[in-house]
Amino acid sequence: MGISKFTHILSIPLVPKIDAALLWDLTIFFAGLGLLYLLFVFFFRSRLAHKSKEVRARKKELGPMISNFLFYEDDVSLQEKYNYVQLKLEIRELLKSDFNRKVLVEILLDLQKDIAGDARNRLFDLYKDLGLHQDAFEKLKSRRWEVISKGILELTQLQVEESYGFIKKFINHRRGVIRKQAQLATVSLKHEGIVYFLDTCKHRISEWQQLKLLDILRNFEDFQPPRFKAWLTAKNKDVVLFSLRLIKYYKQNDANSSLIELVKHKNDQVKIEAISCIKDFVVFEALETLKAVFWKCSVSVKLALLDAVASLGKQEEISFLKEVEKRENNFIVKSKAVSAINTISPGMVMPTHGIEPIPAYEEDQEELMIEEMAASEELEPSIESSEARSEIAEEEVIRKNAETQEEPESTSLSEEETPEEIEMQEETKPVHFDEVQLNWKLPEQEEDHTKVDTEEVAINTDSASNNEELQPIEDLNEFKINDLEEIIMRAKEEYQEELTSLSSESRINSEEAYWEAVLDPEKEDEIVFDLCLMEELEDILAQAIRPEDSYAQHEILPLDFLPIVAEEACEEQKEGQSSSDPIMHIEVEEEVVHQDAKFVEELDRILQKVRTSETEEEEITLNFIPLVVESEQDEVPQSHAEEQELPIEDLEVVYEEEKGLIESREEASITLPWERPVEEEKTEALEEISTALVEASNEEYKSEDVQHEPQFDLFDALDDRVSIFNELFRTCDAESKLILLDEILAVGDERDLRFLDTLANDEDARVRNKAKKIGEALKTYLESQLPDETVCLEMDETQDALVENPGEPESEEETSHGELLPLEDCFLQNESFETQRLGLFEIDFELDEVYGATETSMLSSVGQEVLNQDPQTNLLEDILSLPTKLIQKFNG
Amino acid sequence: MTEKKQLLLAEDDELLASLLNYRLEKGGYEVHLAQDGKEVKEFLKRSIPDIIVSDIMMPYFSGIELVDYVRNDLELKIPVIIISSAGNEENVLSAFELGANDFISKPVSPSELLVRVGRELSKM
Repeated sequence: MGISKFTHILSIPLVPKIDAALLWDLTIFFAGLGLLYLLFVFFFRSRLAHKSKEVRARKKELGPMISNFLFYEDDVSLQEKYNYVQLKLEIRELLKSDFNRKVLVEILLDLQKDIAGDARNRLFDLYKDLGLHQDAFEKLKSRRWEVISKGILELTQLQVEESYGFIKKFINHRRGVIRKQAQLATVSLKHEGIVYFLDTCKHRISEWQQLKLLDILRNFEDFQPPRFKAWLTAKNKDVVLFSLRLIKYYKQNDANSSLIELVKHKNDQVKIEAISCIKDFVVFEALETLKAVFWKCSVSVKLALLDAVASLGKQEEISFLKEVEKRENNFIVKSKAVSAINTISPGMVMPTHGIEPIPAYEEDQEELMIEEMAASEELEPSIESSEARSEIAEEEVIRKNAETQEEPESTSLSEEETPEEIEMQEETKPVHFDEVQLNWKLPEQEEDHTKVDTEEVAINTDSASNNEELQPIEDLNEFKINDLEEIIMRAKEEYQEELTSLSSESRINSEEAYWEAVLDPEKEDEIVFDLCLMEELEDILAQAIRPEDSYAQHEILPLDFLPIVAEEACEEQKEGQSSSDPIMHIEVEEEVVHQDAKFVEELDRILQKVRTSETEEEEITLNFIPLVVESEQDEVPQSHAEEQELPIEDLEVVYEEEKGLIESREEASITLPWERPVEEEKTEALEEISTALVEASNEEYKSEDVQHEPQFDLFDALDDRVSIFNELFRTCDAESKLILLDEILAVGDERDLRFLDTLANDEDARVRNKAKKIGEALKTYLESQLPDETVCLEMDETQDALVENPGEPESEEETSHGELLPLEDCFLQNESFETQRLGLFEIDFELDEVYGATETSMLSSVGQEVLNQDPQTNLLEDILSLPTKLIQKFNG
Repeated sequence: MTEKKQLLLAEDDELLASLLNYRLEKGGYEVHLAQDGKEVKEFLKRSIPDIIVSDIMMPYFSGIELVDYVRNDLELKIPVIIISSAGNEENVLSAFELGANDFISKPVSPSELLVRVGRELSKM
């Protein structure tokens, strides 16, 4: 029983029983409703269409009748007059129908939009003659707001002035649509409507409504606007605001005192509008009020107020504006204050962000100023401290540089500046020349900002020495060249600093620094800018520099061949110290090379010798080198790291060193090292390649006149002193000595013979034996230096005899050529080698990615990579590896 | 007795067309009304008026196209006066570039239009 009940309950929602007849009934019902709806839609649509058609037909019928009435003239024939009277009777009959009246009103409303002139006025008269305005009055009595609104609109558009009294009652209607319609009608129907409106309006007047009202007033003919200052005391703030705008539009400047008072209004809009009026009417009396209310105003009002102060203010307002700039927290207001200051006193606030000081010229300028001030006893400038002078000099230098580049001729005293403006600028400066009497006369014209700044310089410099006239500051050409040189050097230094910081930090220090440097667009931009600047300035300098200056550039002593030198220079660059460009002049280079007094002294001696072209041999004690080495050895890990992270300088060192060696070889008229059998890895293939290279270079030499510019190298200077291996051997172990001995054979000369003799007492027997053999071979080689055609062969034979290591392959020349090479070919091969070497180094200088290898030595990486790229270069490995080995051994 | 000048008035607003028609007829012109571009084209295929007064905005065929049609397709040198709405200066300039002789802006003063028509016809 219970189970059956439960089953019954469950079955209800799952299987509802619906009567099919009921479903049919519902279907019929809703279908009927739909049909009825369609019928209604069809009926009303047809009715509306019929009505519209009827209206169109009636308009077509009444249109010509209206035209007859509009263009009827009295001076017509009697027949036309009779027709006109008949037309009037006819239209009277038509107007008895409400429909016709409505159609006629529609016709008139449409026509009044499209016609103008006398026809329009006739249309208004016709509207009233036909008594259609009575219908509009009836609409005003309606309880429905839309009907009232339509009535007001009809009476307004058809200019029924009689309706003015009825419509103005709706100005403060509770319904906004009627109120706004009534406001427009009141103002448009009669000229005095605006007065009534402003007197009685109690509600808010929207901005759009104000615009429409203003448009109506603007289109009035012969409109005499009332003095709107009367409504500045209205309680309705919108009335005050609208009045202010009307005052501004009609330029009624007789309400200054009210305007000043309205600056204190609670409403910001009123304040802003009053300030705008004050600005337009140039109410100077309002300045004090403006300044007084400033701190209580909102940001928008402050901006308007500062704008007005900028427009009206004089020098007295500068202090206020500076105070605003100082105290105000809002950035926009601050900027506006600065803008106002510059408006009142152009050029008072100069840009400071991103302006670089130029210390070199600053010093000169400072010294110049001090000298001139000291020379002038009459003047007692009120410079309180040297810091202030330096700041002024710095600003002047910056401005002067800019002006010299832009307007070189404007550095002389401009004739356009007025004394008042100069006084103003002097007041704003921290330095005052109170007792300076500027006895020069200038026409009163508006100034140029740039010229004013230049004139400040002239005042500061020349006024101290000469009070009568302001002379040009200095020779512009000299200034330009010197200054450009300094700018170029500075730009290069900064570029090197940027490059060094980017490269070293990114490679060595951390990945974080790397990404910071790489992803920092400002740094990249600065580097690119520096590069561009350097290029531009160098172009300018190349044109402006004198011939003797350019000659001086040829006397470059590239002293950065020493690793120590390079490291020192790099360290200086790292520390941000200013290092001069090595290509500019040697004095600077000497300073950069080393700070040690002994070193500098010794270097001076060397360089002096070079300059005087002394040929006599003189042994120089290179005591400064171990001194440097010792000092560097204390920082061996760091130095080694710096070698890896400063590839450019290191590469330059290698390059210069190689160059020095090879050039010394050329001067000695001996064969090239790579022609000798000194390398272990020379294979048959390489021999073939080298042979091909020699032949190719010979052909190239014959076809082209290859010019080699003689370049000075310190190795030349050192040639006549002592063996460079002397000091190297003092700090290296036996294995290194053995390697160095091989190198002595490659590059050695008479000095090295003496040095090899000293190695006879070496502790290591291997070194002693090898030194002995090398010495004999070198001696033989040097003795055989004769200008005959057998030089090359003899050298080959000598080297073959010397190389006794069992693992080493045979000489390339011996196996491949086996014949005498003419002396000319030796030099040709030398040329070929140098061409290849230069090519390799050209590649090396482009291998920026190699610098990223932090694990291996920079130089060895470069050399290895180059060798891996081209098997031909294996022939030169000994030459390339020489400086690497030297540096490695040098660093222990 | 002199023949009346043929005037083609192209205006889609019936009321305004009727009003102007009345005024122009009263001014001594034989006015032919056209409410859109199609009617204008059909009329021009049938006969050539002495002057054309056309609204710049019409169905099917704007006043600018009408000027272009008259000047370039039919190669007629009859005067064309354009009626434009206020703020439609660009179209007016285009019409002048295509060869319109004069223009008058709405709201139109019928008396002014009559004067302009007479002036253009007197130039021929």
